[in-house]
Amino acid sequence: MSTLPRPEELYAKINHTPPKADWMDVPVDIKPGRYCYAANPDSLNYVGLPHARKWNPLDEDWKLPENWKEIIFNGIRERLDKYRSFKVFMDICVRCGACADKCHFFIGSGDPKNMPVLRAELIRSVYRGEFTTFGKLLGKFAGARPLTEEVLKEWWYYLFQCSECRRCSVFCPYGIDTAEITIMGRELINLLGLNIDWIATPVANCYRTGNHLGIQPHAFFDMIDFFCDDIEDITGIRPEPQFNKKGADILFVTPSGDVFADPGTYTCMGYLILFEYLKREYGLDVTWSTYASEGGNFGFFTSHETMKRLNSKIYMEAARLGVKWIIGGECGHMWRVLHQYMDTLNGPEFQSSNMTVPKNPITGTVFQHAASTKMIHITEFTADLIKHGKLNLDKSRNAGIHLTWHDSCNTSRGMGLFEEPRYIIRHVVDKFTDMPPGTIREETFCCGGGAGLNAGECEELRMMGGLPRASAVKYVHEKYGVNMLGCVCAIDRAVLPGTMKYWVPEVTVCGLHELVGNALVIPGEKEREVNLRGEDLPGKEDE
Amino acid sequence: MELDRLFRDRRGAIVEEWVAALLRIYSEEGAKFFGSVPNRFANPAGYIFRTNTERIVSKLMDGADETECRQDLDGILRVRAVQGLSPSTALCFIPALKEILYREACQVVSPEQADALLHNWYIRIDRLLLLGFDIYMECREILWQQKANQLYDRTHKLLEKANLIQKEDSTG
Amino acid sequence: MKALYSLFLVFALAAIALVGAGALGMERTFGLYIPFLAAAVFVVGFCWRVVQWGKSAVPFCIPTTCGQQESLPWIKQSTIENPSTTTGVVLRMLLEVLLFRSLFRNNQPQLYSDGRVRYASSKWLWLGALAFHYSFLIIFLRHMRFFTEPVPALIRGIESVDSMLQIAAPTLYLTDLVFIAAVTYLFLRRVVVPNIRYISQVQDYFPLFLILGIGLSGIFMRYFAKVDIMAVKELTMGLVTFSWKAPQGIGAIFYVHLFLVSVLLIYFPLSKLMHMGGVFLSPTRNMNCASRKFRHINPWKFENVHYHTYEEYEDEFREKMVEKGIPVEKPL
Repeated sequence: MSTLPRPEELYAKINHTPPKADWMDVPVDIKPGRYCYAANPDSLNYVGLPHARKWNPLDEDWKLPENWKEIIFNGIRERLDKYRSFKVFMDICVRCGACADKCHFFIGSGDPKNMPVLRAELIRSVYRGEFTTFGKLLGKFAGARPLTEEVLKEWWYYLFQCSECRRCSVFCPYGIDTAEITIMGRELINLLGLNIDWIATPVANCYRTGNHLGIQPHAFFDMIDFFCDDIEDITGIRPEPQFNKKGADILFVTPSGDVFADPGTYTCMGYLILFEYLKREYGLDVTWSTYASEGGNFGFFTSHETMKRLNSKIYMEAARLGVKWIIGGECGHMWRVLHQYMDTLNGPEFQSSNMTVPKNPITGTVFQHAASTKMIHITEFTADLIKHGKLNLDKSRNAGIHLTWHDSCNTSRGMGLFEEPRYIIRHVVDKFTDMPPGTIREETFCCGGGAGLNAGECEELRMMGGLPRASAVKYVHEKYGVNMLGCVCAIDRAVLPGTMKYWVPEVTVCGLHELVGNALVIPGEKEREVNLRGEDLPGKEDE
Repeated sequence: MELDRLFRDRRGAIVEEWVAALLRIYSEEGAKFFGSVPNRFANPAGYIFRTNTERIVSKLMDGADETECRQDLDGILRVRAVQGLSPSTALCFIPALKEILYREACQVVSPEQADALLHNWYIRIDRLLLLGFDIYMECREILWQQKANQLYDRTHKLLEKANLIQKEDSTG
Repeated sequence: MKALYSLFLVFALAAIALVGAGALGMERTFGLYIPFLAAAVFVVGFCWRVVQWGKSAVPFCIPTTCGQQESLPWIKQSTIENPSTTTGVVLRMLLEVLLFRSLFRNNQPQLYSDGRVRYASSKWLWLGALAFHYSFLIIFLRHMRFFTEPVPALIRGIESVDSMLQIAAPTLYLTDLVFIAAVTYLFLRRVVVPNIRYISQVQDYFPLFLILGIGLSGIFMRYFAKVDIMAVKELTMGLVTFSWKAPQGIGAIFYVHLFLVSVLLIYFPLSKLMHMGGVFLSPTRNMNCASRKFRHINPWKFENVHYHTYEEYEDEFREKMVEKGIPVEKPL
């Protein structure tokens, strides 16, 4: 008996504490559940990305091209010249650690290489060794290290554990933005064909068919038609959306996730109801496009060039159809691209001179803040309508909902969209409670699935990353009885239901225009029994 | 009982030790972060680890049934289940409580006596461990389910539509 | 370990100065040539680095927005955290550079046992950084009395405020205390906090020790060794007037101080200390956030980009589109 190890000793034998070592000496350990599968070579080939091949991250040999180091170094050199952000961020970090505990992946996993500063140091160390005098002379003493296959694998692993949410950049005294570093890092490893499939295949699909699932135009049309059926069942009124209509006033572009995946589909029904209402009441002329049917831009997670190629469709289609301006649906990284990149990327080449500064024909409001890009967010549009009393809203249909609001990363830190959705919320639901400060607005936590990390195979990573968000939701759920988490991003709507199911199963997820769609009273509609999800409305349960 | 009073007096220390055992599997930086001042929003995992450990210890000392600790244990294991740990690693802190209590007991009685006096405690901790396995597996199953459903969810509407067409064909 | 390396290095540097200027009597080298060279390296190096950064393009408008955007007129914009005017951007940069706005944000909501959430901010880093930088600045300005004749009133003013406590003789400067305390804090958090220790490198400890060494040698000189101030001023004035006079009889400790300062000046443009210049060039802070209102122009072009045009798209899907009544350009 006495020779048996005691529990703590037994436990000591399975001690998993990593050896105490400098981070540069800790080899990368690619764990299942935290990495995404390698890109399908067909997808890369379709969009002409280099070095497409079959490879497996778990294999020893990643089948790199022979001159891979040269490719990376040339890539870095080129980007140092082209992007001041990259160059400055490589040079000025003082490792103060203000960002260290701000990353949701670090908060959830405790993996030190998920601290933003260290994620960037993975690349900085190589930069120092190759591009700075000090690093070349003093090597490791100057914080430099050579680029090896091991280092490259580490890059790949951790660059796809960053959701480019920019939370760290809010706290950095120099504004160093890890998203920017991740973007550069991903561009670099893309030069070697090291993409993940959950990004590469949607990129190819968006390029070809206009949406990330590769749904062809007739099926896209059918999906929307199908929503119209549902809306007709619920309200007695059938929306008649227009597709690819030349001469329409406004082009509407939304993430295709809204068309294909629950609960985004309910948000999509919300858009349809809103536009139908406005058409009937005020003659608003909006068209959808099957060609530019994806607002979300997976190219953003690949390279600036791919982003440009995918994004070009929006202006090209606006020019072809001759619309005056564009409304964009509820999406996160789509709006980062639209707000901060689109006009620069494609404005000079593809924006038609016939487009005008967006002006709401119903209220007369001129959206001067979008004077150059000529595209506004649907919450800006809807908030303006509500402010002018143009919508007939019946809050009671959302009476069963106690809402809290998830500020999506990209619309928060890459745009600043905070009050527009909250203004709408106050007009469509009665019970609304914000999560505690420090977890919302510019300090909002990511859902954990941004920047192309929504693949099935990295579920654990997403759950770890989603813990800080879920923790704040759990708090308002327990304290105030919140049962619905609203958001304005298609990736949120895809990721957060799973996150909630795991961490706070009592809370479900919705988009903002789902609530608008529920509350909006279309003239001549029948008395609704159910909401857009087909659930009984409050007070209608017994009938 | 004398031992129970001792444990109650030493509750704080026991919790500390148990939290330490819980954190021992993480890298030093991770462990220090999780172990730092528990902050529900900035450090949710650390917060759950500490508060739930405290609650479990308190409940056990108050003679509660192990099943009453389910919710608290669930909180801890829900975090551990997504951290890429093997089941034994994820759960190893539970049996560690035996050793912690044993060490405490040995301060006042002889080792043989301690084992005898702790017999009931050992049984309860074993039950807690079994409960832990159930919870851990439940968590893993949700994850597998979500992985399996992911593709289905993404294309749910399309599938539904396809079925609808089928239904109309067969009825029509 | 990394901290020890750095400490050793600073000791070695101090020893070089002691031996060189003291034992070997190379006062001209350590008093004139090296400081002059160091100042030149600093000025040229600093400018060169900033110019290098400036030469890199800013292709996109990528500020981090930290407040409500400018949108509808009745929604209150956060004009500094999400500026849409040049004034706003300037104010944002001033807050950042002068008050370390972003570090100040480093607060954490805490849940108290009564169930309420309050800010228990972790402002120590902000406070430490602010104390360090400002005391350094004041000390730097105070030193200008060695390089000016007559000493401007402003510098004399700073000095008298700084020594208002009137303790000890020569009077104790408040900034000396604050400075040493702040540097010590910045060092201690690097060794005590595991996360920070993990990310810290020789390059982080070395400047701290170097600066601490400069501070301590200066304090030692002023309060304990009491070097001949007049002789020092003769030397420093010689430096700025290029007259190359090396007075005799200044204690070796002065040369240690001066040599460490020279090392700092040379090290500065090669290292992370360049954040002093870089902070002004950070595109996530110094750009106008109204990127939909004003078009930002990318100075370089993407070359040979292929687009998937509508024509190609329609050619592939025309039949299916016609089937659903979606309008097409070319009929079937």
